[in-house]
Formats: sequence, structure tokens, C-alpha cells
Amino acid sequence: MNQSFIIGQYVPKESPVHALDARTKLVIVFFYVLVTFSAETLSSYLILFLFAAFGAVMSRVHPLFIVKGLRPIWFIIILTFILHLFIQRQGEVLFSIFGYAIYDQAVIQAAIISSRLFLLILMTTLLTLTTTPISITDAVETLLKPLKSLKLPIHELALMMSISLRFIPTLIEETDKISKAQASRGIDFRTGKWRDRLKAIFALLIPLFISAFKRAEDLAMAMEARGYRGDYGRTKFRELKFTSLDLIVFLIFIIIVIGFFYFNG
Amino acid sequence: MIEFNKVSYSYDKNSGNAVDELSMSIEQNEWIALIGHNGSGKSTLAKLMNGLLLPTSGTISVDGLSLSEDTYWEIRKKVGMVFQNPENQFVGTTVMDDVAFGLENLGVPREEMVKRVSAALKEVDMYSFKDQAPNRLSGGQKQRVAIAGILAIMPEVIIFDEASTMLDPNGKQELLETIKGLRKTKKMTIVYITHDLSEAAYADRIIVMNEGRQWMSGKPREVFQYQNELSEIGLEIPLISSIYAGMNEHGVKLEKEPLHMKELVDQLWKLSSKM
Amino acid sequence: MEIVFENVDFIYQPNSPFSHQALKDISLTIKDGDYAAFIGHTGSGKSTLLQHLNGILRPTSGTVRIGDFELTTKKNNEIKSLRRKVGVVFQYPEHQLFEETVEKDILFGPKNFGMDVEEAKHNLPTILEEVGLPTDVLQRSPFELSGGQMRRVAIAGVLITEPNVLILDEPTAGLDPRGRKQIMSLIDSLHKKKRMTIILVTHHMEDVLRHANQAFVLNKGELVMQGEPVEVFQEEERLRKIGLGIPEELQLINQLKQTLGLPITYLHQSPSELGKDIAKALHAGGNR
Repeated sequence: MNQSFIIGQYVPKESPVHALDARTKLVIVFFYVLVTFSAETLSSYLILFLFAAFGAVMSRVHPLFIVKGLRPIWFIIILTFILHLFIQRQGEVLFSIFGYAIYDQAVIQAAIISSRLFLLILMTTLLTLTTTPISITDAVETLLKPLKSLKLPIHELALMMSISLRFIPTLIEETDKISKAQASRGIDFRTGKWRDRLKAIFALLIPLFISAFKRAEDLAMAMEARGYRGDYGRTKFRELKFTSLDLIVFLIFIIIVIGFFYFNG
Repeated sequence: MIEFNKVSYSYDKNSGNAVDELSMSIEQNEWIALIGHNGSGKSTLAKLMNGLLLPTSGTISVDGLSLSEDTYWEIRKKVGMVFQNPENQFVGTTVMDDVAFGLENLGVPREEMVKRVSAALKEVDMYSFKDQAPNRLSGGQKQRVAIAGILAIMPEVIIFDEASTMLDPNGKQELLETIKGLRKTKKMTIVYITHDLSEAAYADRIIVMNEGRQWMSGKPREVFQYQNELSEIGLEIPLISSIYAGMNEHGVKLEKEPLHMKELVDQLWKLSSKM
Repeated sequence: MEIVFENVDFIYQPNSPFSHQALKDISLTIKDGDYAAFIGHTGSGKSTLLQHLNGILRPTSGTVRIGDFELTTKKNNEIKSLRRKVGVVFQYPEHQLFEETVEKDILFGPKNFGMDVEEAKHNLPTILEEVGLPTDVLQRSPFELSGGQMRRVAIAGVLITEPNVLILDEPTAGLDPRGRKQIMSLIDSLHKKKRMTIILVTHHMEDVLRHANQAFVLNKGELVMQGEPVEVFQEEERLRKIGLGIPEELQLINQLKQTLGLPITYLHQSPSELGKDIAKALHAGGNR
């Protein structure tokens, strides 16, 4: 696995962004994404970019780390830019390349779409870089709490998410172990006929599933032994704290949004 | 503390009873070692003690409360259980979260929880690891966290269901030392399930299971005298006991059957100073 | 097949912030027909070292030679035939079973290695007898069997390719005393009757003392001690310092020597014979 790929990774640091309530970050990212989709003018993009850059600086995660970590994404962004350059056929012809005409509207559209993509990825990456997966889960659970009255299994969903997070390293280790065991029995995962390779994948997946089921069974029994009976009469140990810092950040965000709509016309 | 009255349990109707008409009782504050080879019914017995399984016939009572579908939630507050695989009983994403899990289930208020989680972690000497993720811990450390999770609920009985089987020698030592430490500071009934008789030597009493029945019960010294009989049902007495048996046959008689090396050496020293 | 490590280093994820040196300048020789034991606790580099023996890992620098095969930093295209000759029984090998029937699972290796499957099939009853399984398990699903039986199926799946070297990583983990004894005596008979080179990784020092003729001690990726088990275990202090113990019988012999001056030599006695020797020495009055 490419270790420098940072999407979804958490970087522990002590920064104001890390200290924010996960709910605050989640709500802001949500509305930021919505707003970004309605951005049309250059100045509105500038405002959005400034907010994201401000967040990135305040997170104290090294900017080079972010730029490098997003490297695989740059490719997608540039591809998006080029595709739009050739597909859009509105406005005046600026110049032509290999016999293809490039229109001025196309350049603007391509710039808009790719900056939009960039901002979305930057903001969501900032969220995962500064928030532990389990806090995100907690935030999702509390934010969706009103839906419980509609009989949606919010607690169960959140528990499922947190247990999956808990077992990801375990399963990675297990996959490594089983693939080494099967390789020792002469299997080759990389070369050979597609039928053989399919068989090789089965030799890996079946033991992995069996062991995951066994783990699930053990875990269910351990949870039951410790008095787990669903959401019934349950309290929570992890708490999310909404502080004055969160309030300030929300106010800044509201001002940004107002400024955005002002410049967006 | 725990009473079994003619208890039978079978996993399905076609197979025989995993536990067969078993009657026994475990006293308050006793450290019981439950031993037997794999498949002797000892783990089934453990799961019957806190209502993870309900008996097919017969009755079980814990602390005066008779086990049934209506009472098992109550009984689980009294009987905590540490399982074999350290990995598969770790529910939380960090040590603290895992210890709190049982308390959350019981609806303990948060301030109380924070106190109890810290206290329990200090008791098993894992407090400095409170923010660690489970994949950073050794097997022995995970088992200690599991014990803390149970201590936080303040039960009367802790069952160790082959909790040492998957640990390396250092991990086993860690686990036994933790239990010995607990016994010094608290009143607590311990049921320790194992097939390793040198671990069973630390118990007050050993119950030997075979074919779903109680095959023998007695103090470790008494039980270890039946070397041949135990080996017939797939068990092996501790090395020190077999060495002593060899000495005994050749005329060396000690006051009491030695359970571990120190007892043997000390007694031999006394004996030889008389010679 | 003789196994030789020459100045082997292994680094996980080199040139990255996560880089970690798991083996440091390892040089050792395991002779053909040896019963070698590797000791060291979790993280000492044992499993990394084992994975060099059948080319799952390749050294970052240095050379590993297994018979005619040579593993260096360069890719080796004959890895498959090496893997056939060097069988590995991983820890909890029952977790690698996946076929519908025991027979298919055992024959998985021979198929992959392009061996004569009919001939392998013909050998099934012998192999099953060796590992102590009844022949009627062949058509059953491996997942219906008990944990101990599943482990034997996994071991049979390795033995069927007739390896010259057999590596076992904690083969008795989680077994009860009877199961442990059976597996250890199976390994003994493979060593003696089939003249296989055995490489055992274990935490049970008693097993090292009783079965192996060579012991290698690893600590933090370095080979710190090697020699005959009885000799290696002489250095109780050094082993304690790196968190390892010595077999209980040797501990007892040492203590009796120190406190009572009893001269007892360990000559692979059974526990009751050892008791007899102690009794005799006591009656002789010791050396005080």
C-alpha cells in the first residue's frame, strides 16, 4: 500500500482544528460541499479557497504532507480539466490544438469544475486528517439521533461502524498471514491463467470469511456476557464537547457563507 | 456462590450431553481451577454459569438467584467472563473505550464511569495504556484490559475461560500475577478454566472434568497424586509433581506434596539439614 | 538440504519513515537432518527469519542458501520449486483450510506445484496415518472437524508434497497436553524416520531441550546465542535479561546445585528418572 496516500488517514496533532467538536466539523464540511456546488464566480471560489486554506494552516498538518498526500488526486483533477476543455463547445474559439478547437467558455468551465473537485477533496481530507474515525462515528450517531423516532437503527449502525474500524488492522494482518500460508502451498497470486488466479483469490477469501465469522461469533458472545442488549438503557462513555471555539468557528463560517452569496451574485 | 443441581446440557439432540447431570457448588471467595482435556465440557460449564447457555435440564443458582431467561441479565452483573481469544473480546477502539463498554450497557452515569474505568485500569496496571488502540497491545495486555472491563462492573465472580491458552509464557505469567494481585486486595470468587495443571496449582481447589461430569474435586496436592489416572484422561500433572513422584518412589518423603519449585527446594533443604 | 544465512539484513519498508530493521547481520548454518529450534519472544525477528526460508521474503542484503537455491536481493524464478522442498506449517494452520473436502484441501499443494496428483492421492492413507487421522475424514468438510483434527489436516497438506525441510511455527499452540504430545512425537518421527530437517519455533523451552539438537536465540533482530540446547540453557542469566526462561528441570538442577550442592547432570531423563537421580544424590549426602 502506498503510505503517502493520506485520504482517510488521521494525523494526531494538537491544533485548534483537532480540538473542534467532530459534529462542528462534520456540519461545516457538509454545508461547505453544498455551497461549493453553487459557486460560479471567481471571487466566490476565492472565498471558499481561503477558508479551506485557513483550515489547513490551523490544522498544523504540514502543507507539504497534504500536497504530497493528494498526489494521486492531482491526476484526476488534471484529467477532469482536460476532458472539459475538449468537451465544452460554447463561446468563442480561443485557439486550436491538434485540429480541436478550444473555446473560451470551455476554459472557464474546466477551471470551475476542477477547482470544485479540488476544494471538495481538500475539505473532506482535512476532516479525516484532524478527526479520529471513532469521533466521526460518534458525531454521525448524535447528529442522526432525531431519525431514531422513525425507527431507523442509528445506534446499531454506529456500533457497526466503530467495530469495523476496530477490526480493520486485525483483518489486514489476517489477510497477510493467510496469503503467506497459501503462497507456501504453491499458490501464485500474481501470474498464471485467469482461472488459476481466480482460484487463488478463493483460497484467500474463504479462510478470511470463515475467520471473520468466527470472530463475529466470539465478539457477539463477549458483548452479551458484558451485558450488551442493544440500545436499551445505555449510557455513553465517549462524549462530544461543544465549546466556545466551536461557536466562533461556526460564526466565521456563517460570515464566509454570507460573503460567498454576496459575491456569487 | 454458584450451585449446580443435576445440570445437563447438550448442543443438539442427536449428540450426547456436553455436561451430564452435574451437581457441584463453588463457595464465595474460592479460587477454583476447572480442568479437563479439550472437549471435556469445561467451557460449556463456564457458559452455563452466566447464562450464555441455559441448561437443558437441572437448575443453576448464582448468589441465591436461580438462573432463567428472566434473571440472566442480573446474573451477568454478578459473573464476569474473560474469554480465550484476546483479540475477539476487545470491543472498543481504545483501551478506555473497551473498559467502559460494560458500564455503558448497564447505563452507568458518565461521571461514575470515568472514575470506575480509571480505577479498574490502575488495578490491572494498564492505566498508562488508556489511550492505546488494541493492535498496539500484546496478548497478555489485552487480557488485562478484559479483566479491567469486568472489574469496572464490580462482579462477585470472574470466570477465565481458557484465558491463558493463546498467550505466550510471559503473557501467562502476567495473567496469573494479575489474578493473584486481585485476590490480595478484593474478595472475589475465581473460576479458572485451563488444561495446564501447573497453572491450576495456584487454585484453592481443583475440579477435574471428564466426559461432561465431575471426575474429581480436591486441593491441588490431593489431585496431583493421581498422576496415572489424570494422564489416562489426557492431562499431565506439573513437572515438579512428577519429579517428586519419582523421588518419593525412591524413599524421599516430604511433609507436604510440593506444588512448585520453591516448595520442593525449601523442603529438600530442611530435610537434608536433618540428615 | 543445508541452510546457510550469510550476513542477512532485512528491513521492512526501507527508505520510508516507517522503515524498521527486523534482521541484523544474521549468519548461521543449519545442517541437513538437523532439528533446529528458534527461540525469542514476539518481535524478536523469528517469523521474519522463517519467511526467508521459502522465499516469502527476500533479504535486503546478504544471502540465504537452501540446498542449491540461492536467495538474494534479486528475484528468483525458481521460488515455486523451493517452496515445494521447504514446507511451512504456520501458527494456527487450521485457519488456512478452505476446500469443500479434506481430500481436496490436502491435494491443494500438489496441484499448485504441478505434481502427479494421482500419485499424491495414492499416498493419502499413509499421510493420514502419520498425522493420526482416520481415512474416513477424506470426504468430509474440514470445517466439521474439531480444532485439533483441522490442524492435522493442515499439516497433512504440507507433508503430502514430501518436503526435505519442515518449518513449524508454534505447532502446539492452544492444544491440550495430549494433543501437544501427539504433535511433538509426530515431528520426532518425521525427523528420525523420514530424515527431514526440522525447524521449530516455540515458546516451550522444555520442547527445545527434549527434541532439538540445535538452538538459536534471537533478540531484537540479532542472533545472540546458538548451540546445543543444553549448552544454550546453561546461560540462564543472559537469557533472563532478554526476557526468556530456561526449562523447569534445568532450573531445578541449578537450584539444587546452589542450595544443596547436589551434583546432578541433565541427560535427557524423564521427570520420574530425574526424581530418582535427585533421591540418590540426596542419600549420598550431597557435597556439603
